[in-house]
Amino acid sequence: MFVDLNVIWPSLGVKDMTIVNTVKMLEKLGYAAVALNYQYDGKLQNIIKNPIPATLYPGQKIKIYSRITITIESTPQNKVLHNATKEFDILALRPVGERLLQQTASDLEFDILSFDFSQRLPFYLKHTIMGLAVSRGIGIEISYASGLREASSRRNLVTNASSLVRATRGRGILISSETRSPLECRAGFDVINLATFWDMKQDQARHAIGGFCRSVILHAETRRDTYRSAVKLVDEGDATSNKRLKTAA
Amino acid sequence: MVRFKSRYLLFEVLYPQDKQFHEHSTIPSDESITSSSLSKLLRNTIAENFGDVGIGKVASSLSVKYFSPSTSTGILRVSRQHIRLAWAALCFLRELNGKPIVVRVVRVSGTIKKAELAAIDRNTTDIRLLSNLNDIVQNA
Repeated sequence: MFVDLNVIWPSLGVKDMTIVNTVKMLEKLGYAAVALNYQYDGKLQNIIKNPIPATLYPGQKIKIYSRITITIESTPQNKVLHNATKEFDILALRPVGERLLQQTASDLEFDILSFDFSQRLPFYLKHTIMGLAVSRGIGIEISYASGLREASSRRNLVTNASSLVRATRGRGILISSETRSPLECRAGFDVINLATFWDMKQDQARHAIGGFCRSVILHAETRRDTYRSAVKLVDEGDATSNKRLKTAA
Repeated sequence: MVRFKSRYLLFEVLYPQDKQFHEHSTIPSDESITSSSLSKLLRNTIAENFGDVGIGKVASSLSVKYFSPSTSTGILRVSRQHIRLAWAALCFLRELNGKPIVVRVVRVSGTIKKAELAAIDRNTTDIRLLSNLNDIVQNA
């Protein structure tokens, strides 16, 4: 069961046919769920509207989640993060700078920590900070599409991904595509093979693209829908019927 | 007795920018693409991505055993030691005869017989699917 948690939502939205083609391609390659990523790097506003629909085309079998990636340069207000959590299914943060990274990994409430791995990172990825993020249930993301572009981003991806795997010992890592077109998608087992070049073990890579993605989605759902991870309000119909709720992986 | 062990990768070439990509399960490739031309292309990809050492390691054992332009399916043979390298080279392959492609490895097998059987199975399901569609169209 493969999940791709980073498919870039184009700025034109549904009017741009490539997003429909990309999701159809991923469905054909055997992915069970995707998260369409609305990248937000402007000035932070309190309310950010969610443009991502749940169904893109008729006969769609793949499940679509909505995700927002906020590039932050200074500590965002709690209100902004809270509103983003309510609007989108998954919240990802991309901190710029080591100080902010430490703050993000320890204090803020979000689901996915992401970096731009196609560039040289200005800071080292330390065991302590990464371990802290992983222990809080946050997934750290490696995106493989930059490894399919030009030579410099390919080299930087290998450098950065290997150092991340070393810092986290292979746990808590999420692999996604960050694809902008159907040409940058790869099937699940192909991605697992690519991940072995970043010093990941095969079973760790298999978990990173399947089971762990589900954990992250569940983590996001818990943050959004439940009160202190203990109580979730459901409709009266669901409570009285004999529907068993699926437990976390 | 040290026996030379190899792996056979069954792969398919997908053309996402073709107009009929979503209707049909396979798109036929250009007739001029042969197993030898594909083999040469793959070696260039390995040399570009993995350098001289990479190409040196696989050169003796890498060969494209079979490629069918009509189903865009092929079987690649590598030594068991270097299967990851050859598999990654297939992933890095982005263009064939000027058209952008995505290569997907469908099966890894220890014998060519099983790889061939897997290819035949896929073709049978495709034909069955097409004939079902034809029946529906005719009966309608």
